[in-house]
Amino acid sequence: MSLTQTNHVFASVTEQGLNTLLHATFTARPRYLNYGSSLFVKTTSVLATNMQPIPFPGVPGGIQWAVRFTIPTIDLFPPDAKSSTLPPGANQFTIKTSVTLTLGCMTFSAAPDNPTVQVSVNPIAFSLDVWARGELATTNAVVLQIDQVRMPQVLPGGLEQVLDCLIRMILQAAVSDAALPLTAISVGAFQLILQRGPLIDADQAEAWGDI
Amino acid sequence: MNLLDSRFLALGDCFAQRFSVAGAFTYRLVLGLALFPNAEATRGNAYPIEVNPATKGEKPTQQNVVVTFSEGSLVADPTSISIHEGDTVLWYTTDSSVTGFSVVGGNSSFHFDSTSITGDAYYTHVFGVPGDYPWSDANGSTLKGDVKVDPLPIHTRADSQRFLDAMKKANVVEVSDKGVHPHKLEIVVGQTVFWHFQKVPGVTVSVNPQPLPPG
Amino acid sequence: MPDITAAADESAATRLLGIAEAALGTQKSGPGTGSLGPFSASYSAQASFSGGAVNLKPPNIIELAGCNLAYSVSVSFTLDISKLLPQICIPPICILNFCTPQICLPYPPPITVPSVNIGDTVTFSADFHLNPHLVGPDWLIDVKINSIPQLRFGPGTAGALATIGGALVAAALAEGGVYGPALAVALGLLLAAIGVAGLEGFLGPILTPFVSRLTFTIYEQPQLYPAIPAAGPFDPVVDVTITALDAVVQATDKNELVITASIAG
Repeated sequence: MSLTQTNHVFASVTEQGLNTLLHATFTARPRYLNYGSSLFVKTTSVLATNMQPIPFPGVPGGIQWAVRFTIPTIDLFPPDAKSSTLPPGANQFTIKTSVTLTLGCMTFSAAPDNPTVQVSVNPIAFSLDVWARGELATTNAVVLQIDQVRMPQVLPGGLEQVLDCLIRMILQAAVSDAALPLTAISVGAFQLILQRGPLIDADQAEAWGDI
Repeated sequence: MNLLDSRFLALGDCFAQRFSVAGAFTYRLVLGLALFPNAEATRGNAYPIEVNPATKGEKPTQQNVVVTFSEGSLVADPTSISIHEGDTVLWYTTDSSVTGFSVVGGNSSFHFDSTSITGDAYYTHVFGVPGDYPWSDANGSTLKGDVKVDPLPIHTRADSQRFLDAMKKANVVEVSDKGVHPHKLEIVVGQTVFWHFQKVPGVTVSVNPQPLPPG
Repeated sequence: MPDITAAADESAATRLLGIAEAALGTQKSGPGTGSLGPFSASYSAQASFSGGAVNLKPPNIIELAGCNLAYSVSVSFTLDISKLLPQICIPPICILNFCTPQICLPYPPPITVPSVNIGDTVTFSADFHLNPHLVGPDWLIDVKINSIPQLRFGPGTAGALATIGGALVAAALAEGGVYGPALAVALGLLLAAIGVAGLEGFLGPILTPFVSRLTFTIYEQPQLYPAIPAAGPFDPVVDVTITALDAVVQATDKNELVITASIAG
């Protein structure tokens, strides 16, 4: 069977190649994985993205926070042994990362001889391993679309659901910035007009179209 | 080809003078427009012509003199002529670098000058370019005429042969004290016209003649 | 196993080659000299390529059938009339006892006919081989001709011959003096004898160098490949290194041009 099948051009990238591309993307643009309000990220740079604090009555300046992911690795269908927590099904991928959530914990105190409330902020954080499963989507770039997240640490039911949803939303936003142009999966051999795919099979992502 | 002007002889032109009187003559070849009224007044390139008395029963003959340009001056070949009364001397050039010369000579009793032709002389010219050539006398007489030269289109070998055959035909214009005949002449390119001069007061055949500077 | 695989069938490969032909632009050669029959000529030429149908042949051959080479040649001729015509001599002409001598007319100087411009399209078919290679910091995949093809001249060659004839005859009549008309006839006869075949024989060595080393480049990317271009002051370019590149023709149910690459971060 030909590579192009009923189309005129074909392009594919292996799981290893996709990991190389993702690693290069997040190494060149680490701010896609690092977010924080002004206490933690004063201003947006290549290294991190400045976000607004969460406004709340009685919390001067809002709640300060930060989120950081490690560079994700991807497993394309069929699943490797390492993806056993959330293995990819047909036409799916699984990515593995870890997330660190940091809170600017404020404490308020008042001295007997000083009516002004003293505010001190103490960052506290925790980290979780994250597995996420999804499919490839395209507009005019290849985007990781996450459907489901799992954190293997045992958490109380309600908290797990909240964190699953929160991390899924944040992780989706983070990996969406790492959209791969279609030319990247042909290393510039031609400008691919996508007609079919991208599909995942045999540890590679494949696309068909015309030039 | 060259300009139609008997004062400037070049490739395709001839000037011929008949000598009807015996005697010793000299002539000079003059390049360009410089003129000397008396040939014997100038030394240098004076060439002799010895005209001997005619021998009874002998037909008139013709001697040709070839004029070339060598080391900055005109040279005649042969350098001396010996003829009889009634014979003709013809001057011409085969040298395309000779752009215009005249022949001036004589002795105490007879003078000849290709820039002021009097009689018993011919001027011939080969017409190489089609066109209309109205000519007149640059020395001021009323003698004039017209030569119309038609092209001869050559498309085939037969046309080429017709051209070569036409070149052999002579066309004569008689110029005398009675006038010019024919006044208008029509020929084809490559042909030669002979002007035959008899009893004329020193004339030229010139197209657009400018008067000569005073002597 | 390579990280990236890209494949194009014959239809796409034809279009890729068309893009490469256009990118090659107009090639120039000359000045040079040659002979068209008895005429010596100097020339300068330019050519461009277009069209052709691609047939892919494993393991690495691209056959290009019916490629068009559009040429424009500017030719200057020198006509030495002394080598083309006998000298014209006016024979002696006589009236009674008076005869003019024979006068032979000198040849005019050689006539230069500058810049006769002729142009047309020739077609050719040839096999090319794929040549992926690194040139300095760039990866290239060249499609390089295997051997010198035969050029097929079109019906426009007869028009080119007529253009040359017209220019030579006009120059002969303008500058040939009294030899002009006869020279014009001689030129017509000579060019008719030279014919289209003769003109093709003249043009062949001029045009062949354009194809003898013909190379199209169907791929050219820096080894440090910008996978994602820069998108602002906080989003620099994302580069990967293409550590290996190959190009072959694979035959299955379709013949395909297959490009493979290995990358590193």
